[in-house]
Amino acid sequence: MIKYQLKILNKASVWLACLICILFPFFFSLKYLNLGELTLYGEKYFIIIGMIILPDLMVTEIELSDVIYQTPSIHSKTFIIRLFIAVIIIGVLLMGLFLYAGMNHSELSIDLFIAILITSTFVGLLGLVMAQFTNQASGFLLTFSYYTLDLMTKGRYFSVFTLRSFESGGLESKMPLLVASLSIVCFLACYFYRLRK
Amino acid sequence: MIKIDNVHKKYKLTHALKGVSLEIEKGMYGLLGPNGAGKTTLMRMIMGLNPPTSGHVEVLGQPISQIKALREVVSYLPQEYSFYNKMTVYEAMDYMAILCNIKDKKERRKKSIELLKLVNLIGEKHKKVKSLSGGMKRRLGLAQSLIKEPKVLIVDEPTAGLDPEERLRIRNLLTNLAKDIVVIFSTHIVEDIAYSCDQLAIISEGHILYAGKKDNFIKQADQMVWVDDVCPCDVEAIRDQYHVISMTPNKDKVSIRFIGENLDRGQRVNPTLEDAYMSLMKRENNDQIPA
Repeated sequence: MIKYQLKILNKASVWLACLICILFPFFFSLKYLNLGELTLYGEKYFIIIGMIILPDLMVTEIELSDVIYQTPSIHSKTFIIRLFIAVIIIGVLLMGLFLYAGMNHSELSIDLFIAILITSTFVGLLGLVMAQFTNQASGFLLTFSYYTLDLMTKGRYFSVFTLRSFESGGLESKMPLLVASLSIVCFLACYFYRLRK
Repeated sequence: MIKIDNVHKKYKLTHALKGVSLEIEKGMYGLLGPNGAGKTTLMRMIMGLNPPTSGHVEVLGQPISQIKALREVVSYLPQEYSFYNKMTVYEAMDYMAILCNIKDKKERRKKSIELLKLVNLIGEKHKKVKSLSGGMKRRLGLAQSLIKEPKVLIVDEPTAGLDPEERLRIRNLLTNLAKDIVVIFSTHIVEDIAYSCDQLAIISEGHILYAGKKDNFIKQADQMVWVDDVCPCDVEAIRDQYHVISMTPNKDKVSIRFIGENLDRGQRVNPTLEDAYMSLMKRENNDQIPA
């Protein structure tokens, strides 16, 4: 199952996220950054990885729905496994950027890594829900609209769901995003389970 | 084995099925009708993918609301079949077997190879799904549909858009399968039904116009099919007067096959399934024209 989920995840969005990570150091210096600067980069740019990978996670199945959803399989299981792999991919790409920054004498923090992973996953999951019930384009549109609005208004309208809260609130400030992400995952898992019922 | 009782299906703007009742037994069962007649709606309903607005559908004695049990025994090959393009043919079979809850790797392998041999795709097992032709994709879909050893197989327009050789291959495959299970073969191509089904239902605009034996249906058009060799200049007049089924150039004349009753021209011939179908459709269309 994992082998095939990896195969299904071999798609343009994942490769685009990889490419952005590879090219990032060519456009932004990750050398000698203190934690505040790395936080700024992380919450402003690194989170885009999840925004690219997650919204079209289950889009292929929409086209294949009559073939896939007629099987007696528990589709929520497939969704959870694929999401788990996708989050690992996001984590690995973030880790790559962090390690590169660390090798270039930047200040690192495991809390910041976890915070960015949570933020990236949350904003990506918003797009995933939207894509599942409308289409892929709407999914990406919602994700990027949320990101842009949060960036431009400095989180004024998003309260605890702002994407840029680590500097002022630390890892704890990401708890609402974590809870919201888990709620979205539970909701989608129930939705995929019901497709079989 | 399948009982459909007074089923209606309404969408926002259309009434796709209007009181459909059918009983389908083991063997090959043809579902014939023009595009948009409601065939796909009916098939997806039997598969439990599209619940009826009202009415009752029972498959192997179980109502279709028992989705879990239904998915174990019914397979559906949709008209627009596709699969993950980056997988190879073998991987597509193996992944489908996983989705059908076959956990043992050896069993999955054995089944996949067996079915690929059955549909004559074993030589293509390392090819990517995206590189297969339309006919090969349908055969792959058919092999995937058989993984869970269904008791009912529903195939929606499996021969549409295929070349004659591929159509024949798929028809023969389905005919062989129908020896042991129920195969519901939906199509708008009359020839496919003529060569492969004993039982059929004709559906048009959500109504069942006929359901029963193919031979009895053909008999309904007895005494109604005529052929005549006419001058090309008379073709238009005949077209206006009768329901023309076919026209074949024959030296300096045109051989016309048409539907009519008690005529004083041409020669009466035995009807084919296509003649009977066209005759029924003509009657249906005439009935719908207001006086």
